[in-house]
Amino acid sequence: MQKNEIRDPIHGLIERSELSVKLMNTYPLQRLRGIKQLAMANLVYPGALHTRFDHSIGVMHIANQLANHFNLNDDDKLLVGIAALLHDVGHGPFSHVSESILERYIDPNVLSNNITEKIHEEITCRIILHNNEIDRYLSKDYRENIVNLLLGNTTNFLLKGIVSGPLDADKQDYLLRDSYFCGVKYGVYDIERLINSLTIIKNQFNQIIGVKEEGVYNLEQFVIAKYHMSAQVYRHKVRLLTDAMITRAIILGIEVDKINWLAKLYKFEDNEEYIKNYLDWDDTRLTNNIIYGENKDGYAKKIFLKIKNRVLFKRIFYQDLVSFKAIPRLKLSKLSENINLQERIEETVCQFLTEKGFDYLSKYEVIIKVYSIKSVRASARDNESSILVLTEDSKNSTFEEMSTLFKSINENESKEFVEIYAPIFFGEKKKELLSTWRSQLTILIEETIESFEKR
Amino acid sequence: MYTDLILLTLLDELKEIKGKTIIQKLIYFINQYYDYKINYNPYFYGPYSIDVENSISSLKGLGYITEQVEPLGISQRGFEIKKYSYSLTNDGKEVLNYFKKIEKSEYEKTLEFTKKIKTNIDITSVNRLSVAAKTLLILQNRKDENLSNEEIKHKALSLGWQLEDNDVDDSRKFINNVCFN
Repeated sequence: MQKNEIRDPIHGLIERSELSVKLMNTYPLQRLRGIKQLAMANLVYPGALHTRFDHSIGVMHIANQLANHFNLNDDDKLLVGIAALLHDVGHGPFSHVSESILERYIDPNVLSNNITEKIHEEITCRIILHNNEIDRYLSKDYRENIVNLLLGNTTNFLLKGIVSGPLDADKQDYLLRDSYFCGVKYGVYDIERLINSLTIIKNQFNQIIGVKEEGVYNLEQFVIAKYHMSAQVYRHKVRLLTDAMITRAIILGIEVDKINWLAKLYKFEDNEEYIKNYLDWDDTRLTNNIIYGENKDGYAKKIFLKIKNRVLFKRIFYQDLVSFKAIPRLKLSKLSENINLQERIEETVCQFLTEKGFDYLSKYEVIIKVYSIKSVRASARDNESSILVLTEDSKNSTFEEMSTLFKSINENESKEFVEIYAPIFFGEKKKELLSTWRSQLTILIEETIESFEKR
Repeated sequence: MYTDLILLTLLDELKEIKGKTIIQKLIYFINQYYDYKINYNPYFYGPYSIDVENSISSLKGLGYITEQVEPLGISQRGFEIKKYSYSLTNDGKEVLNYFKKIEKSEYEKTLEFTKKIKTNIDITSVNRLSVAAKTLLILQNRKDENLSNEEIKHKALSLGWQLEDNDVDDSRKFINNVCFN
C-alpha cells in the first residue's frame, strides 16, 4: 500500500494514516495554521513563525514512534496518534495568552461543572466531542476515548504516558521545534536515543513508561534542554513583555474600549454557539479586527499597533522579590490573584512616572508582572524526577535517585521577580534613571501594598 | 488553598522538620482531615503533592523558610547522602503572624491537628509517616468498606507499595485515633 507522507523540518518524512489525513483536512485542524506556537516570539526570534498545526503533526509523529517502540497493537497506536494530532485544537489566538484571558473572565460556576480545570483543555474536549467535521470520521465512543486519554482519565498508564506525562510526545516535539524555528540550540537533544532508552515498567497491576538505566543520561540531556529553553527563550524578557502587551491590549479592549466581539470571544459559555464562534478566531483575524475593524480608536488598537510596528514598551523596573519587606513580598507573590491590588500599584507607578515628566502615560499602559524562575532541579521536580528507572539489576528506582546531574545540582531554587513595563521613551540617561528608580519604586510599591491592606 | 499557611504553622509548632517526605505526609494528614482539596497522587514513596513541593520551594525562594543540609555519608551508588531540615526565618514568622490574623480559623485548625498528630505518632520517623499515609490513602478511597489488612496490602501492591501486617496495624491505630476521629 502506498504510504502517505508529509515533510517536516524537524522529523523529516512523517507517515500519515488515512484517518489522520482526513482529520488534518478538517476545519479545527486547519485553523491551527493561523495560531503561532509562540505568539509574538518572532519579534525576538524572526523565524519563530511555526504554528500549532505543524506542532500537532509533529506530536502525532512522535506518538506513533513511541507506539512502535512499545509494540502497541494497531488500535492503540491509532488512538494515541489521533489523540496527539487533536490535542491542541482548543487553543485560542496567541496560544497561552488567550488562556490567561479566558481564565480572567471565567465564571467559576461554569467551569466547576465541566470536565477539566484549564479552559483551553475544556474547549479542546468540546471540539473533539461535538464538532460536526470531526464527528464525520470518529464515532462517539472513539471521541470519548480520545478525550479521556487527553485528560488522563484512563487506567492505561502506558497510553497516558505517551500523550500526557513527563516524557509525552508534546514536550518532545515542542522543544525541538521551538529550538529550530527560534534558531537556537538550547532545546536540542537526541530524541532517537531518548525514545530508544524508554522501556515499560510493569508491576502486578499496571505498566508505565520508564527509562533504562543507561538512558538516564539521555533523560538528563532532555531535562537540561527544557531548562535552557525555558530560561533563554520562553522567559526571554522581550517575549514576556510582548505577551504582557497583548494580554493588556485585549483586556483593555474588553473592559475599557467595550469591544463586543472581543468580550464574546473571551467570556466562555457552555454552549455550542460559543465554540462555533471561538473556532472563527486566529492570530491574524484578531489582530486585523482590532487594528482595522469598525470599533473606535482605543487602547487595544493603540497597543496592537505598537506591537505590529515593534514599538514595544520598556522594562522600567526589575527587582527580586526577596528585596521587599516580608508582607509586601507575600502580596506580590500572589499578585495574579488580586487584580485590584495590581491596578492600584500600576496607578501609583503611573503617578510616579508622571511626576518624573512622562505625563503622556495612562495608568492602563503601566503593566506589573511577577515571574518565577526555577532552577533545573526545581523544574525537573515538577515532571521528570518521578520517572521510574529500570536498573541493571532489574529493580526500580527514580530519575531523582539515579541521576548524577540531578544530585550534583544544589537543592532547588525558585526565585521570583517583579517587572514593570510602560511605553516610556528614554533619552540618553536610561541606565541612570532606571538605577535611581529601582530603590524609589521598591519603596513606593511597599507603601502602596501596606496602604491597600489598611483600607 | 492553604498550603503555605499549613507549612508555616507546622514549622512554627515543630520548630524544625527533617526532610520533605515528612512535610509531605504531615500536610497529607491535615489535608485529608479538613478536606482542603490539596491535590495528592499516589507516588513511589506514598501520597505526594506537587503543590506542597512548590510551596516548599516558593517559601524558600521568598526567604520565609530555610533549608539546612547535613551530609550523611556516601550511598552504595557513590552519591552523597544528604539530609535536609527546614525551619522558619524571622520573615517567615512575620508572615505567619499575618496569616494568624487573616486566616485565624484555618491557623487554629492546623495547629490543633498538628498537636494531635504529635501525640499519636513519631513525627520524626519517615517510615512510620509514609506507611500511615499510604494506608490512609487506601482506606479513604474505600471508606465505606471494612477492609482487612490483606485487602489493604493487596491494594498497596497495585500502587507499587509493599506493606507488612504490623505496619498496617500501627497505621490503622493512628488513623482511627487521629484521622477518622
